[in-house]
Amino acid sequence: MNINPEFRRNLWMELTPYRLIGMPMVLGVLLFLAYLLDGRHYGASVARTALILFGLLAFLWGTRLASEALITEIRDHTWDNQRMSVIGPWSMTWGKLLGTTIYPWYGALLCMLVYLTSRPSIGLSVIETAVLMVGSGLLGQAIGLLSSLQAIRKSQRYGRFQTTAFLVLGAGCAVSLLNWPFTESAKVFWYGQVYPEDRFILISLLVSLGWAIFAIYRLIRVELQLKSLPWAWGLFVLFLAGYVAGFLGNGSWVTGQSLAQQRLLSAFLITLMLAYGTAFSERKDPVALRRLLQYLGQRQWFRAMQILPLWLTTLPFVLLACAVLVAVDLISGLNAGMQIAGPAMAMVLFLLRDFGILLFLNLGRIPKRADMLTVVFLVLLYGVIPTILAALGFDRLAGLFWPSPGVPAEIVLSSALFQAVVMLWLMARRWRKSHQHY
Amino acid sequence: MIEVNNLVFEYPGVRALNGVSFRIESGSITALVGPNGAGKTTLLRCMAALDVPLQGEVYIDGENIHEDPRACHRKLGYLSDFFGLYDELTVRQCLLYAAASRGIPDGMQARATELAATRLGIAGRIEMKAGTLSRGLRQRLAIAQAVVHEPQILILDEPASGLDPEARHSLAELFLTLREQGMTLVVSSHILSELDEYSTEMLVLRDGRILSHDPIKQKRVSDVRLKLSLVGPYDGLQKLLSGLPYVSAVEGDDTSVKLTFSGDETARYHLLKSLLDQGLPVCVFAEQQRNMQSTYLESVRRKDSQDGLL
Repeated sequence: MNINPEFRRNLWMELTPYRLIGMPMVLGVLLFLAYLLDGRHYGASVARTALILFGLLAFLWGTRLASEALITEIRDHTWDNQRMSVIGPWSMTWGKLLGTTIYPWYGALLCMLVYLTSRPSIGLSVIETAVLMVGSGLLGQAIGLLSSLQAIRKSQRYGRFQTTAFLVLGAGCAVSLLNWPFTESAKVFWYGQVYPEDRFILISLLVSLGWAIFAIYRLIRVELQLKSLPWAWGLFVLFLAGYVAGFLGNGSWVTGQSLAQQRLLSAFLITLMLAYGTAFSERKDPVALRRLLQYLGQRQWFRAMQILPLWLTTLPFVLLACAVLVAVDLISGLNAGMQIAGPAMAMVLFLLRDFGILLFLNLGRIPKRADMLTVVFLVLLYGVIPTILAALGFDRLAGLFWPSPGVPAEIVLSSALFQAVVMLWLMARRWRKSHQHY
Repeated sequence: MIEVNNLVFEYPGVRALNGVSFRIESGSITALVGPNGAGKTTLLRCMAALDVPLQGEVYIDGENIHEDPRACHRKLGYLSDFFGLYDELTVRQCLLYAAASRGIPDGMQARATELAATRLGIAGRIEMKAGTLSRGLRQRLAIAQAVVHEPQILILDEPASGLDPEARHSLAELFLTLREQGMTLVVSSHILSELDEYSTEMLVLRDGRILSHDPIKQKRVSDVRLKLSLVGPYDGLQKLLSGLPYVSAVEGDDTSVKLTFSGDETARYHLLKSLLDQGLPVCVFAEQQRNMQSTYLESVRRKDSQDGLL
């Protein structure tokens, strides 16, 4: 039988005899203490201790190890060897995800066993609870690994701060998911149907876990230099937009709009959010952009699609969602003043302006700080300047920087268009200047 | 075996490789030399399909490595300048992992591991942890990992850095053995003396461009560099020597010169005799070992004079 080499290597490194003996001993002592403190009762106190220990092991330790898995390989100069291996992307994905965290899982599964046999009866069955616990632990670790993979794609270095951020992100997701079904049972409305909250969360968790693992697989494919088209990201954008839109009910979220329009608006905002998210999380490498332009210039569409950054892949979805919103708004005839279409078009133009700022700064002399500097500019443009204008009594001028209610759509659109054109022109100018010597 | 065509590689703001083209035949040991920052590591990483160039192609056995890097990785072994080992694993585990990750089937991994360990002379330390090995032995283990799948080509980036002279010598012997076993090696270094022992070709890289690509050993056989010194100056010494048979590339002054001599030993005797017969007070007439250093400096000088820098 062929054992996954990456998983086997992790087993060799993580599961040494001393560690195998040490973990149950430590856990046994702590759980026995809980048992004694509860008057030698194998019940709620032991279950609570086991659950806390499970969380510490699976969510904190496991997520930390998963977050550090790749940076450790890069720091120890072993990652190139792995990239030159013939280990497939699936094997590498689960070999890393389960392999690096195998030791915390060894302890966490022991704790889960104790928890399941000592817990008070609640809504979910034993199997459902076990799936929820393992699933949430895996999700946290997968998010940690995914974040670190994405960070490595952006820069080959990251420090303690980023690792802690990945840990907080992963563990935060896992803890919030695990915490939900243990609170008061409630109902979830999704696309007009009523679901028990705990089971809805369980299914959502498994679907999210599936997406997270699939995303790791896709990024590892890139690292292993396997050629991929960006269809998976497109599918995820559609999924997320559709998933979130399902939570909108008949209660009016935006006044005067039908449920379909509200769902469209929510889908548009999701695509917008993903466009910003990917723009900041990806590398805006001038060399990669040059290569992309080169392929496009040579009409090598397939190759160009393979290296298309995700923020550019997301852009057509933003434009499409906006176009549909505008079309529905105009056709419905409900809003002569383009209540949704105007601000939506302005948001797209502001997005283009912001991409212009981001690229302009990334093509500059200190690209390392470009993303942070862009955030500062965006805070100024979206927050500080409009607030100052409002405080000075020029509320309508705030509409130059954000589609404010009460400001005519034409003014907002003109301002957004002007800013987008100026920024994109500046960016193009810097691009030409920085590449004229080649 | 390896063909590189018009390779261009850029880091943001820097062109590291600028139209690099060359061809390496199988069974050779090519020394890739050049100053720090010349682009050696970038070139090797492109050849190992670890980095993707902006332009150009690299072919291994006729296959474009950037079209299907993973297929080419089966034919390649690569050791980076800062190689890594899993310190907590034993030598055997390191090699078993390398064998498995390079696609050797389960039943053959143990055999491949033993073979690589024996080949690299670390079989006696197979149960030792990698973290406890000396620098030289770690280097051997890293090379064993790179050759465990019997690649056709082995690419090594600064393999001897940090090694003591004895370990360097044994590394040189190892490379010659691997070559005898049919492997093609590309070895980079900026320490020319270490490459001298085993290289058959020298590829000189500077500022991301190929300065020269010449065979090494063959030159030594046909051409020799002679040093001639006189007790006192002799007017027109260089002119006199330049007019003699088999003599070329005369450099120096009226007291001491270096020249390239392409004749055999009898011709060399006649050269010395004619100089003495003409009354030249010769005190030194000796062969200069033509080594990597001199070949490299010659290439650099030639290029500089072409560019008008000298």
